[in-house]
Amino acid sequence: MFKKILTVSIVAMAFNGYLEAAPHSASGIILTYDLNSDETLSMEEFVAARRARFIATDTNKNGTIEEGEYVYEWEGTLSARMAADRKASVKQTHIRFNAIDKNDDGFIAKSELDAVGEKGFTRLDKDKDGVIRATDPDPENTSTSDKPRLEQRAMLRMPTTHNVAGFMGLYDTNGDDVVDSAEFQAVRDAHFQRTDENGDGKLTEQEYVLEFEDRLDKQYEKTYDRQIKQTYVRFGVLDTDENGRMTFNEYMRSGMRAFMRYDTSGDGILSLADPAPVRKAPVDTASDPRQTNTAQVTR
Amino acid sequence: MTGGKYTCLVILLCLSFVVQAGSAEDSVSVPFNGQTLYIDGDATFLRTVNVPQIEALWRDTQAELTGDKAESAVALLNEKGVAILSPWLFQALSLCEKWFARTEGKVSCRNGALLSYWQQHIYDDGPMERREARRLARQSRVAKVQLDKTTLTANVLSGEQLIWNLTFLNDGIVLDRIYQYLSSLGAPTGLRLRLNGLTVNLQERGAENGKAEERQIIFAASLNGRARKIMPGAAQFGVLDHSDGWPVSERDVRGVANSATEAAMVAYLGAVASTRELAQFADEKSQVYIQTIDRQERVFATPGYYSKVGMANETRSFDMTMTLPEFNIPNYHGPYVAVWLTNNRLEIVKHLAIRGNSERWLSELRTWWRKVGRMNSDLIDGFAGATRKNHSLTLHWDGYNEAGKPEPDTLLVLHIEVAREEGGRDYIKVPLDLSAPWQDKIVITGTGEIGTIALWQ
Repeated sequence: MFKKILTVSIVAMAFNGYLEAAPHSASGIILTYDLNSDETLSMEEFVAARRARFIATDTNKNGTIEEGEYVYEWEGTLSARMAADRKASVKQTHIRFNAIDKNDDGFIAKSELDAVGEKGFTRLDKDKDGVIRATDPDPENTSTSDKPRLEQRAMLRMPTTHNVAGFMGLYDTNGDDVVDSAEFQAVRDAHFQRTDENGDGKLTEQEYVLEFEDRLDKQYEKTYDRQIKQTYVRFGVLDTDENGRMTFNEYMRSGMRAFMRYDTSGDGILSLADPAPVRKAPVDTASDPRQTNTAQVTR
Repeated sequence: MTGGKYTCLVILLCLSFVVQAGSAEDSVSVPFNGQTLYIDGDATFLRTVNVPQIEALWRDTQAELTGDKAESAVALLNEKGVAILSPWLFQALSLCEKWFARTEGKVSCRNGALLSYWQQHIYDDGPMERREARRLARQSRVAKVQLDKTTLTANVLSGEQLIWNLTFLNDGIVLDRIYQYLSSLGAPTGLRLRLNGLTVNLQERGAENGKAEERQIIFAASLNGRARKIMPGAAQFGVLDHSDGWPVSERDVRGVANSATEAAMVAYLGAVASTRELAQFADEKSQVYIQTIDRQERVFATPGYYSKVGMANETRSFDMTMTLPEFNIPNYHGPYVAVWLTNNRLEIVKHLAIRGNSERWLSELRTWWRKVGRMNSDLIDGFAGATRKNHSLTLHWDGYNEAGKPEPDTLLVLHIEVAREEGGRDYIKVPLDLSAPWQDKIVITGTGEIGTIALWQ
């Protein structure tokens, strides 16, 4: 059985090089399919879990998955994960409020918010020329631990200033790939004004969190719509004979590619002990409209 | 027995029957619009109560609040932005606006547009977008309103059209009006009104310290925030948080306040605000008291709640203060603090205080984190407050445990742990014997991050 699956997967890899990009880490696969919760995933366990998921998705029990069933199943998973991500993000916002409120008076003053902004700008301005450019290098990762952790990457992600690309997306309002302190401060000032509902010059925790939730929910809608669209595309890709019905073999193709990619030790067991795979050059999407650039967990 | 003695006995028996009949309890029920108000109390008094009068009062209040009455003040206010209100309506609206301001709009009578949006979604299959719900809540929150108690006028000064809606206080307002009517008839002690989850109780408060007995009125409201629907026919459970327009269904609540309307208000607040926020809103000065039960069946009560409802556990309660040392260093950040009570078997009796909500730093409270924190992230979410620099920590334990029962164990252990970002960490435990009243204050001098701890009854 194992050899048959392996053969199928090798053939799939040969002919389906344009399949969706692999997940960013093995965590997603392990967390989704590790039924006995021992933080490792054997090929057998993976196939069994995929079989169970296939059966659960086949709601009309005709032995194949139709597009509607496929999308419906994924929507359930998507909604649950997005809701959890949203809750975690809002919780972090409350924590962030308290971190910015340096004098612990229960409010964020403009000066406190500006101080945080200045720190962030300085961190990215490595050459200290008072300007952040799109070509500037990212700041060094100051994480104290390189030990991989078993955690799912959030599906709902907000733009971040942890890297230059994220920073430019937030602050380069005139699109010239350069952000000086004036342009940066203008965005910050607008944020403060928008957040300060009653215009009293300071932000309560509620004001701060509700403004963030507005941006978070905008991102939520965008992410949700994109994920659903990609689900339809993915079905089309996996339904190789294009008969509108996905067999288990077709269903397994997307999973096997990811499993094989992260089982770098080749022992048929996926765990965080497997060395990280070598990153391949990105596929040229312009030449193949079926390619998506979005990292996806095994479906 | 002689004839004369026999006659005396009969007279005595008749008199005793009359006395008993005069103090007999009875109950009157008043149905209206599918609901029933119960009035329990002295039978003689209840015979003087005009039930049709109560029905009329109820009908009038309902019509005014729901806008069914022709030219109702609420309908006029919503249409024109200004209206003269009847005294009872002005009082209800003023109370609502007072709590609206105190709670940053967590409770609000301004959210008619938001409620319509939800009704359209539930009953007419209209859209429901979280951002739109939040926008409607914000729009009503930022409107400027002026209330003039001289002219009993409400005036919307700015913002887009404001649609008032007091339906979440309906029962409270009705009960207050009916109670006022019964008071005018000389409502006796022992009278009790019950309408849905609301009660008004005219109680005798026992003589204390040489003071004469006096009457107190307990206005209480119960709200099942965990299992109720946001409105009939809805799929969503809980209540709508008026600050962001979204359902919350985390807690069951009991609120006690200065009127039935206010009790309904604070019960609603208890369902939407965190326990950390409730401790700020329900203080002794405001004379409101709230008890909540969360999804993990943890019971929380604001200060004075059990005393107010006549269930004080004074022999087990105590007060505590703790000073925190000041460190003269740049970028000083207030410490993370956890205070909790266990029995001698180290089982949790009560979570007393948490300062700081970042799990990164709360995990530095190693003992607390291992025992409590890492398994109770929802406790951190709802109960933990912000760090407060080195301000002293003051708390009162009312003798009740996490299950909402008087704690039976008398040999307890008080645990205190303090840690500072880029600083030290200290932990202390204090054995407490509550089997007899403490004669003296207990004073403990801490070390490192812990200052002086004082405990007294």
